[in-house]
Amino acid sequence: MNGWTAAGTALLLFGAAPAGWAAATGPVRRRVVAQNSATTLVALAVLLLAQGFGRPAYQDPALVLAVLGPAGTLLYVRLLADKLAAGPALPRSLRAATLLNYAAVLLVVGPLCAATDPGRAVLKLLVIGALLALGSRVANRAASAAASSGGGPGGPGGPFGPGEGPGARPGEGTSDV
Amino acid sequence: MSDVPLALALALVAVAGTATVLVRDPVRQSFLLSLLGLALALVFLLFQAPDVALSQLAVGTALTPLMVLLSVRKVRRRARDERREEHE
Amino acid sequence: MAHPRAPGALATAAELLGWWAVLTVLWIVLISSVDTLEWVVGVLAALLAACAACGARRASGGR
Repeated sequence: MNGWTAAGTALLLFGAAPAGWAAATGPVRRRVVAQNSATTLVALAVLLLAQGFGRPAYQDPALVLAVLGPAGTLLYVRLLADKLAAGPALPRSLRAATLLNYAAVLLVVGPLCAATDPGRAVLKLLVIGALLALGSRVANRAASAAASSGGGPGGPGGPFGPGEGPGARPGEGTSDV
Repeated sequence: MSDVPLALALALVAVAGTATVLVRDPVRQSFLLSLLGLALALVFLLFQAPDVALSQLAVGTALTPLMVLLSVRKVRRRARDERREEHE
Repeated sequence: MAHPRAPGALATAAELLGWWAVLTVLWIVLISSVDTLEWVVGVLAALLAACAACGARRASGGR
């Protein structure tokens, strides 16, 4: 077990597992943001494990996850828009999750690039890192936009539940796709 | 010595699978299902099957939540329409 | 008769060419070994994906 494998395992244990816990419990707003963080951290762990096992082919799942993870988060934002709009805007701590994702991407992709021979392999790592950072940005912007679109009069203590009443209208009105 | 990440991934699969069964709300289950898909993809990768991990990622992170959430949406909308017809 | 359409067609062609170049470079970066067959397949696949990207951007209203 070399340093890369140990780092990947530690990232899984102390990064992806808490993010998964946050995605499995709590309010919908936190779940959506945490699901995005979980996919980002798992992709970074896969990159570290690929380097640790010395198998560059194992980087491909990370690349696919970098594309599909934000797509899944956007899916949740789109289909749970009424629940997101029924609550208040995203608190500062959830918006800071994006910065945490950026920091994790930099901390993992930087050393990996330094350890790889210059050439197309480094470019591939940079592409995966850029996709991860960009996807995290897009997904969290969509989540905060959906959460702040309906944070007006029918706030958290409104008379209606999340699935019925006027709070569900804005999400329903835009469901034309 | 790749046993430690493998054991961790298996533990994640066990926890996510059990939680998916125990949770009753379909929306919450869809989040847990996507987490279970991530953990399963990790297990497949560590068992040296990156191709299976790729397809598991495609199915688990995007398609399964999409189908679950679309079904929930359709069922709830139909239930609301029926309730409205009863009132009229 | 072709005059009013010319700028739009030119912009579409430029957009298609841009997508095509970017996607070809992406293909070449992401594969493991570069040879002639990979270039041919990559160029054709990138052309297909560039057409799809142009269509998707037009369908989303240029947002």
